[in-house]
Amino acid sequence: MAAVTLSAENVLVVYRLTDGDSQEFAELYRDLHGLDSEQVLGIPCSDQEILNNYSSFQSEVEDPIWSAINSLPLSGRQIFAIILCPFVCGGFRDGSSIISSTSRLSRIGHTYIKDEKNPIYDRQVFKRYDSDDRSFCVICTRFDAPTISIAKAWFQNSKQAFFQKNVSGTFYIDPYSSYQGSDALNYEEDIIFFQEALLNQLGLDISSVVQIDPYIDPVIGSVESDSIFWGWGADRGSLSFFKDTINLRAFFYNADFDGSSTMRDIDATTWPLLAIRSNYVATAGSMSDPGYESFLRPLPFFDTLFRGATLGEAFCFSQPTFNSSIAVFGDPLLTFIFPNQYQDTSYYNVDDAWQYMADYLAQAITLLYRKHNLILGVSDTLLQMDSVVVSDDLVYIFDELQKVYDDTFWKNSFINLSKSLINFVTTKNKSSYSFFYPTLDDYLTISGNKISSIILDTMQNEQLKQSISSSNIRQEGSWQFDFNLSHTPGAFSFYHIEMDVALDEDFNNIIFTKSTLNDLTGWKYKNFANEFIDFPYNGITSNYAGRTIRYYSQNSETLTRGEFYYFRVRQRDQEYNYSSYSYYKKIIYT
Amino acid sequence: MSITYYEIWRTNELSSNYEKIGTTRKPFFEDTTAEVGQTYCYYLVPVANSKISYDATDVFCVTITSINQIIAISINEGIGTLDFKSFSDAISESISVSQESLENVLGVRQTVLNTNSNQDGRFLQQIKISSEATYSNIVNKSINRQHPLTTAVRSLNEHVLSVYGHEEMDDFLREQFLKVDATYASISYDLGYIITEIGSRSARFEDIDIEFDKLNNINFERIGWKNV
Repeated sequence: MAAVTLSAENVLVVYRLTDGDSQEFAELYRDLHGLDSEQVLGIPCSDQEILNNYSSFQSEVEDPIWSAINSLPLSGRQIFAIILCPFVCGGFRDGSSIISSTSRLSRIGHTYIKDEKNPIYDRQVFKRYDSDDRSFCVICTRFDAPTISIAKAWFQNSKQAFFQKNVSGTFYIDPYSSYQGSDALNYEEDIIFFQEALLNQLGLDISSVVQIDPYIDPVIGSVESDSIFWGWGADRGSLSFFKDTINLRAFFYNADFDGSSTMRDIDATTWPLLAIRSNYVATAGSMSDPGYESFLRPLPFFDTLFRGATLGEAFCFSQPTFNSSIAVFGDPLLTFIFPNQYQDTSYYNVDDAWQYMADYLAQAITLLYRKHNLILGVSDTLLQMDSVVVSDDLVYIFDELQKVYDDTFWKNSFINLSKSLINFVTTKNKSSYSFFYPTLDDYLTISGNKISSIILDTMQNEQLKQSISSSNIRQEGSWQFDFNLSHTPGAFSFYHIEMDVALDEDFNNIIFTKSTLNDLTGWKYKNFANEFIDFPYNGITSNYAGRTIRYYSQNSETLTRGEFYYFRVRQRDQEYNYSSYSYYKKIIYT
Repeated sequence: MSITYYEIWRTNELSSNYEKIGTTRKPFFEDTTAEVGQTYCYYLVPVANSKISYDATDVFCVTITSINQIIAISINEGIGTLDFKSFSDAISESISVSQESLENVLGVRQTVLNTNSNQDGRFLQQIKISSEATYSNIVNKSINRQHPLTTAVRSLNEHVLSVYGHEEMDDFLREQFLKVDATYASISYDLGYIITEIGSRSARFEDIDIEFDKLNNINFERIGWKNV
């Protein structure tokens, strides 16, 4: 039975047949992880680091591996990861590009499509790599070096890291480069967002550069007591860049355009080779210009490692494309421990929590307000019937019932909870601001939170209600609609959203139809930092599956408080395929 | 106490004397002794199983066009069948919205538990305590079957059984092409009324699923009506 996620049981080590050094390295790896002999495969490839074309790569590398995976004895186990040992081909040419072996073999069994989107890239709802993912891609990494002695030294460092695990040195990060253009800016923003959203949580010392002039690339002069480096810009370096450290050197990545064009040239000054020679155990680089969009992204990479998943998974989840020039190096079974422990439950901050609670409370109140209206409606209808029998049988009884659930019923049911919620941000904050004893209105203005007026109604305090600025109260009848993006694993997709709002569950009376294709106004999605940001004009990508999409009603779209409305949404991908509708029923609570 | 049956009094063009020709518990009757082509005038006298007396209805006249013609009675004294449907649905929904309200109160409580409480523990704790008290209050007042609610359900059931002349709620519901919500059926069950006709059927055209040759037996004037 296949293991549920990546482990020693489901890796395949590939070496170059007739190459004693390559085979010796494979056997070292086998012994370290206790692999079965069937998990070590020799292939008859040439000793060229880069083959001339895909056809040669297929015949020398891809086909022999694919054939072995699908034949006994390997077909009895599901291979999740392939490790290429030194002197196995590192890539092949496709026009002016060099496609890396690791990127191509990640899509082994699938047609070669250059720079194909990675279907499991940066999933916003985390999931370990598993059998389902194996249908779409295989984890593939590589070891290679100018000499077998350098390769063996790398292996020894990696072996030590496998047992040591603790990463405690400085995290060097350089988000800035002198590259210009929107794609370069996007990558810069990705690194900065990682800094803000996750880096501080790791518990490592951080050394970051500061940008003074956008046309000048601020650089890190050297690293010392380092464990991790992530930067971009300068594409060449030297061994002197790496000063002393007593810490595990875990991962080095410089996003450039030819960093891993060779791992076998002892004179090369490209970063991946320099990093390996300076005792880093894992690295990555480009064999040719991959385009900014194909660079590894730090957020999914370190989020994966922080959660305790393997380096192989981190590589797999952080590569935006496969069949690209990005090559990844190191033992995919490595895991790391950071100074801080990953907290599976992320706590709300106080202001976010208050808004969540206020919205929950407003809905709770509105639902009992509806109960009051329902009973009152029956009672009033009976009163209108000109019938002695109805009067005798029902009017009095329903009038009594209506008295139980009268206007004070729903207000009094919630008055204490409403008071507690207001006290939480007034009494609590009495010394938090530059003035003492803030009012509820002060709090709302400062925090940006808003309150539904039905909460104020339960307080039965007209003076309090009048003290709240209209801008701090949700517009009556306004609404927001949330749903989670869905995605069937497979291709990487871009989705647009269509939503209908109707008076009836059969959608015979549709009152609004909204579509992100026609108008993005009001549409947001929740990012990694749990902030709602504008919906992208070209659609939301499938890696956001499970994340919340939200629509905020516009001024002209207010509905009736206390009434239920019916919502349905569907997604349309870039190939004009529509999902089936998802249906929802919501009460208006503002 | 409701009317238990109606006495049917009839006269024809040839006589000014009314005679009692039978009784009915339903809002229609078959005049089996009427002759085709004749015009008859009727009135009804409600009879209650109590000391309350009701006025006789107005006189209405019908020209007989077929043997055993079914004659609708415009008694207009009970709630309409669609009124019953909407009232029973309102009662059911009043329970379900209470349950949904509870879910949102639990949402408040869960948010407290998921909030960083380092500096605000005392105030957060107060919200948690208030949410738990609110939860209990709603359960007691809106979920548990309170006497006024069960009394209303019992009265509503007794009313339609009496006005529409049935012993069982299912018979009434089938005759009127209605079904009730499961929550209403459940409350009724606790009160001793067995209801198996559960669903959304509400005497719409598509709900009248009987054979074509039996359509004549339906008193369409009293299917799916409202008394307002």
